[in-house]
Amino acid sequence: MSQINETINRSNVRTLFEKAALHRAENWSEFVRRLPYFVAGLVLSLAFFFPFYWLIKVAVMWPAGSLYSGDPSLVLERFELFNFVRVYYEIPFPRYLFNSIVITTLAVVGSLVTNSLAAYSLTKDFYGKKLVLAFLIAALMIPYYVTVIPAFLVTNRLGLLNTHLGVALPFMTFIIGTFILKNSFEAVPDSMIEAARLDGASEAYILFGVLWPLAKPAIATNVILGFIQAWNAYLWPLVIVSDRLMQPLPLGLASFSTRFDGSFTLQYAFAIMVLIPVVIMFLLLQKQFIQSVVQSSVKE
Amino acid sequence: MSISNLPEKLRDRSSFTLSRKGRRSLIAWAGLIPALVILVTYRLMPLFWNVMLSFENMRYTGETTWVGLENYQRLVEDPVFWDALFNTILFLGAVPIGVTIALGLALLLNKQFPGSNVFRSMFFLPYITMMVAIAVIWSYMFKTQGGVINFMLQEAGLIESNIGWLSNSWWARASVIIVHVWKTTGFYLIIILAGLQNISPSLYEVARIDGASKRQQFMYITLPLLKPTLGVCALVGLVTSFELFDLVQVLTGGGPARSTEILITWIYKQAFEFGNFGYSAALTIVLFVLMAGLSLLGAHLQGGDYV
Repeated sequence: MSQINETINRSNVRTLFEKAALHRAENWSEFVRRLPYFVAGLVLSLAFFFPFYWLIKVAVMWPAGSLYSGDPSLVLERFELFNFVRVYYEIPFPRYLFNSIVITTLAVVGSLVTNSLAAYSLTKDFYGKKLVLAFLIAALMIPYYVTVIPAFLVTNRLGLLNTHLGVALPFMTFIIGTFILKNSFEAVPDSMIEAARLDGASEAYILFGVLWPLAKPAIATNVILGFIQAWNAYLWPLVIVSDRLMQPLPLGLASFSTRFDGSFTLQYAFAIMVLIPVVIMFLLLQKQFIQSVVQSSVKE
Repeated sequence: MSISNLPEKLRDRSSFTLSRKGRRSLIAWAGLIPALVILVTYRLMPLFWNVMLSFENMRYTGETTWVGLENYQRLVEDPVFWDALFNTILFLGAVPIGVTIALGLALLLNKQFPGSNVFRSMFFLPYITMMVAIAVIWSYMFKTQGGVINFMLQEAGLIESNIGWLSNSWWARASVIIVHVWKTTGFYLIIILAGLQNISPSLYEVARIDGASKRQQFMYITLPLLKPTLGVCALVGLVTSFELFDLVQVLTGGGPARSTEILITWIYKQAFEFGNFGYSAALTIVLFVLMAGLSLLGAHLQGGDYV
């Protein structure tokens, strides 16, 4: 009996080894088979990435003389931070950064609150719900770029020209964010909300204490979309802000590029300083960024 | 508790829930107010005001005079308007180009080889990058003398003499399209990859058993099933084309000789550089009708027949 067992075991072991060897070979051939894809992907993505490489390469170039004499060289030769220092002293960079941070924070926090309130309302069954939904879907068709001139006149009437709030206000709600939160809130079982209500929870507690913790991905999506929108906006602040000290970063960068026309090392350095917050956020939260952007376009 | 009691009880309950619905409506509307106030002030009201403004003349002082259709008549006679309209439509060409490139890239990245996620992120990065910064980066790359693009093209032996990317009107238009394609392709890629994941692998298996070639699989399975996804790409591409304002304003300034002017930059200039708010409102109406028409068309095509 034991002998039989042994033979079985041995043959088992042998087949296992053979299988492993086969598997290794398969893996190897699989790898070889996929190598062309890998190479193609690498080449194409590097080509796509080139402008960013160029951005860094030129921004750390000093002295700038070699920029104008003869052909550009593609390799990174020197790494100097002088351009950044020079930009810092040429313009009120901290002021621009402060403006951008205030505007973006107002927009992100504001839109999170207004979108959540609206989304929570839309999960309920109430008089006029159809009307509101129809209005939201119609308003989705009006991009803010189209209404910029009358919206400027409205802001003027409100006395909000050249203020942080004036720039942030139109960004303080966005319809897609509302719908994403609504879908997420609707996925929470009614029994949980009922239980909270029976325990005497207020509406505010149900929204912020019960639904919010369960809707973290939707909240992340709202924050990310609100952040990208407000941080990158150019036309709206351009219209609203005429005071140099109230300019956010995109305006600062655009006016800098006209003032230092031709000084590309400085322009590039400034561009890096503007892009760093978004790029760092993206590197840390790649998955959420990509999911957010997919969700923002593929509504259910 | 007999059955006969039930109808009355139910009636009681229903009147009770009705009043509850009233209370609930009050709370719901209270929650909706902040979002609705912002949307009405910044989307709906401006749209109506814009329609009114397009029949008026308004100066910086805020006085308005009724001028009837004068602004629209001026539109017809303004050669820059026709150029801007042409360019607005021409630059939408970046959408099909970007979607086609993205489709190719998606089919490649869908092979799931090591590193494909990293590549995906690299393609995606331009999409979330600030347009103003992108315009700054490319304006140096496009320089006629010492620009890296001309340099690389010459090194590769593709061109004899330097191209005036930003100084020749047609090359300037091409530059705008190139940059916009570069910025948006990563987005289309992500959407198409998500669409590809939704196609069941068993369909391909069945097709393979039936002896369908790779090309046939693509033509008769992948493409038809991707149709709604491609529709989403087109619709979003239409919306992101508004970002061209930032690009044109910083990269070319609408030049050379207004050859890259688009409707939105012309609207901005008419209002805030020349102070013709009424005329720019009329331009806005044209832009709005154009975009609304195209997005309705897109939605119609997207909702069309598919398996």
